Amino acid sequence: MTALYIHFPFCLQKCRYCSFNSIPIPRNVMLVTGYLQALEREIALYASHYPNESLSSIYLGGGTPTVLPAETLCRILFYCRENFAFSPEIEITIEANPGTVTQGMLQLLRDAGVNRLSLGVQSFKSAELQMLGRSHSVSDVYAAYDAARKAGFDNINLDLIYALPGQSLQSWRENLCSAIQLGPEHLSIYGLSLEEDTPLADDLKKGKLEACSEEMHISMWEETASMVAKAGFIRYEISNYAKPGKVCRHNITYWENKTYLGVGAGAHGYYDHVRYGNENNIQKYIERVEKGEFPRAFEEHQSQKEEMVDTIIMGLRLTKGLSRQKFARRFGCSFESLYEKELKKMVEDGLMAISDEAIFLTERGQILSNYVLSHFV
Amino acid sequence: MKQQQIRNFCIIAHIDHGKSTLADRFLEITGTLQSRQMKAQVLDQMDLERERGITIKLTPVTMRYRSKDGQEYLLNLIDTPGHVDFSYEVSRSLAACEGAILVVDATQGVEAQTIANTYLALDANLEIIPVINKIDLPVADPVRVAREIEEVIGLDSKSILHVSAKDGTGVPELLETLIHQVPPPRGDEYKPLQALIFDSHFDPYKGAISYIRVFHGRVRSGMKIMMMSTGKVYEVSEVGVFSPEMSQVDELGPGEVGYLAAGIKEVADTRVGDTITDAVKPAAEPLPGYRRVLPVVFCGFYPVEANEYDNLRDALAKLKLNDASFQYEPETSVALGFGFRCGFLGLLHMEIIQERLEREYGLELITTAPNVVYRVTKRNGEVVTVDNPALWPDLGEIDLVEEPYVEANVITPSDYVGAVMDLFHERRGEFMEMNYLSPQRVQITYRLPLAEIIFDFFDRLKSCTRGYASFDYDISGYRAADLVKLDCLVHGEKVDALSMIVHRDQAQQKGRALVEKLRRLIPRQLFDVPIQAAIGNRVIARETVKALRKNVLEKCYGGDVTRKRKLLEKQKEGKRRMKQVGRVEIPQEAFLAVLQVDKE
Repeated sequence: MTALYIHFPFCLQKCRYCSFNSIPIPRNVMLVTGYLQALEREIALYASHYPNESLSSIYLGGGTPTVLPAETLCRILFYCRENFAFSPEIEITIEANPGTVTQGMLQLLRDAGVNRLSLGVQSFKSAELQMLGRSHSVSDVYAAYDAARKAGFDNINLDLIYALPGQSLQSWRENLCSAIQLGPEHLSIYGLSLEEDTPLADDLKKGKLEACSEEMHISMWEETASMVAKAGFIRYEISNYAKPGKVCRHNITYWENKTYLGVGAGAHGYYDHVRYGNENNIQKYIERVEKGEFPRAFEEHQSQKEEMVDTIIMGLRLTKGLSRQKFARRFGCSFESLYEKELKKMVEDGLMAISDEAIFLTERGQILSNYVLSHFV
Repeated sequence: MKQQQIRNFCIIAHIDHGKSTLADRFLEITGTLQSRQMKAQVLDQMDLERERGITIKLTPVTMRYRSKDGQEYLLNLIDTPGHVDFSYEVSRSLAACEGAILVVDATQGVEAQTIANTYLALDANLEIIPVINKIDLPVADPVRVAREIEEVIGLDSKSILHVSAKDGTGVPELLETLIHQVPPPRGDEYKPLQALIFDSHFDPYKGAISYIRVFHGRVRSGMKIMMMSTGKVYEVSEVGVFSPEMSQVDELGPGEVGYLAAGIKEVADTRVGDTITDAVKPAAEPLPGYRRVLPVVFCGFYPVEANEYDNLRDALAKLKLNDASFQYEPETSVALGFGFRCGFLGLLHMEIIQERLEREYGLELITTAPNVVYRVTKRNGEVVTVDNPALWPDLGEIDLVEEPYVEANVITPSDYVGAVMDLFHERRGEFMEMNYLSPQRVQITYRLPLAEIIFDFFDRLKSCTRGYASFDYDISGYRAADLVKLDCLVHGEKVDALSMIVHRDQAQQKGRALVEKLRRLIPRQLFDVPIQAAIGNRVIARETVKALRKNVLEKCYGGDVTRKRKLLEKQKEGKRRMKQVGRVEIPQEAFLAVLQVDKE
């Protein structure tokens, strides 16, 4: 059983904060068609290498998968089904930009088996959306949400970004309220991270905008935790909140450091103790797949130690923490014995805690998680 | 060989003026080494020297040379170290010679170091043969340089030889001049043995080897000898000459230069400047000029990893075997743990030892800021010397503080006179004199505290004169000064390794600069960390490293794992190189921050 991530590197336009592998959707239809064919070939390549593998989740991410016609996306899903066995409870998520979906489109996707929708809302304020360079409007958000409900989606996530330049605590509260009022099952909430060489980072560098202060960022982080909890969400990961039973199983695969296949340009995967990343360049990606080879730009054959470190640094992101039993079974010795000194220090500083089942970060440990985790690499 | 046929000489030259290359030509012309045995700068002993292109000291060498007059001569080249840190050794090397070749670069001119060493040579009554080197270079200006030699050193410009050590032009003529102008030694072989030790090294099989110049008498193996400064007696196991590798001979007679092995356990027992005599029939007096050299600059060496302590101790012991002027003793720092307080002849000496420890012995070191030796008179009349700020007496106990002063000589193009004088004033310098060597070049003399030149003075001088100035100094004794100990407290704990001795007028400014610098170097901890500079109990500057409150990667999915792991590894690597002081982790660079407070 494994998970599958499919990358769609196309968007309507590039957001001003984005440093991901995506390009505005090309007018050159041939490139898109070529890409989709390559995706199918890569999926087939994995299926032929691992014929007995079945899928527990699929994640269609990007970019913006929904800039492509629903029929095309459905076809890819059918193709997956032809090549792999699906587990009966398979979770299939698609990411969508609110401005790119219609009810008809969502209906097709729902009928094709997509059972989870992740809407890239980011903000409920026009000015903020504009600053971020999002291509959609606030009303698009409401329309998309309604359409999704009507199409039968009963598991919807909203992505939100806070700690924006100039954003007040009040403005962020209002954003959160709007999100909660819609009644989604899941929220993914991130502080804005300024990546080099993005237009937004340039604006800050030039002094056109003022970065959010650390104090403000912390206040917003704390406010988020308390408001979202009051609304009945459970924080199950540093930045992810879900109504009971609605955690994203696909993402949990990553955090539990389990295997997943990644297909598409720039996609990453982790399978058979190999961590890999595909070619970012779409043309290059297509060429390599056409040669019948895995289009990987790098492969990292993991040692036991590396696997252990990854398991720790990802696992501790989960609120429930690292299962002591699973850890011991996976690596043949207990976490406590391996990191006795470090663990003791972290517990004394109130950053970590141990229960019978698990080792986990405290609330303070979460906001200082890089500091904490650096003791265990 | 008869003394009439011996010439003992040295080469005085500034760094890069071509001493090693000239020595290479001598070896070739005299056939001491076949050209296939030659590598560039044969006589530079250490890798460090070859790499940096500086010569600290050349190996001595004996060369046989048939002159145009048909006679065979024995030429002994004894080198002088080319750095101010080793000026005592220079004086002893000069004392072993009758002549000196003064090499000046035709493109550069006379430098401060050259003048200092030339004066030492004149004091030692050496015959000086001035030479202008690098005349093959298109930018050579031998006329200007000759005028400088005439004006500054007072040597007749008509007697100056023009050579190119690189292509050999003028070198044979130089050798002939050497034979005719440098007088032969005039020792008495029937007098009791008097041999001057001008250098030494440690040989794992033979023990400490003394490099000697015999003045009177003879020395051969089997003979009982005595070190006149200590009275210690040894039996000579071997004598020999440098050709340039050590080759055994039956005996060394008056005027001859070579080496002597006598089962001496360490180089400290064969001190540069000491006189070796016959233990059975000793000379009445030692040769003049011996003194014990004492370190003038001190610093602490600590291993980054505490478990490297034993390796550091062993490495220091090995270096000490070969270097009698280097001192060390164990010390303990609250901040840095177990380490060693080490004493050096100067900053270059310190850098050499530090680099050799790191390079040859693979040690990772934390070096504390260097300091000089202070003399403190307490209220009870007791006088103590303090070579470690951590041991500075309490404010209330101090009656008088004295610090070592130097007379510093700088030669600079006249364009930079202002900049050089500014630098001296900033460093508490007192103007003494200024001479124009030529309209373009000026010699400036200042008196200033030694402490002021051990903190990056030379680098500053080079940068404010675009590398054109040269610099030399002489220690000129102790003077009273209004000095205080500036302590640094991190999170309320005094960090002994960060203490420094400063002039009271500069304390405020240096204290502020130090805490400011440390605020930027000390990473944020889980709590606020106050950093204070204090004199006694009085805090004079304060900064705070704000607590780390947020350190999180909020978005992290499958594709981010590798990046995240690398980020955390980097964060951890940074930690590994820190020292825990109380509850605070202090990075290594912080311990050198004391050095850099002037740079801001």
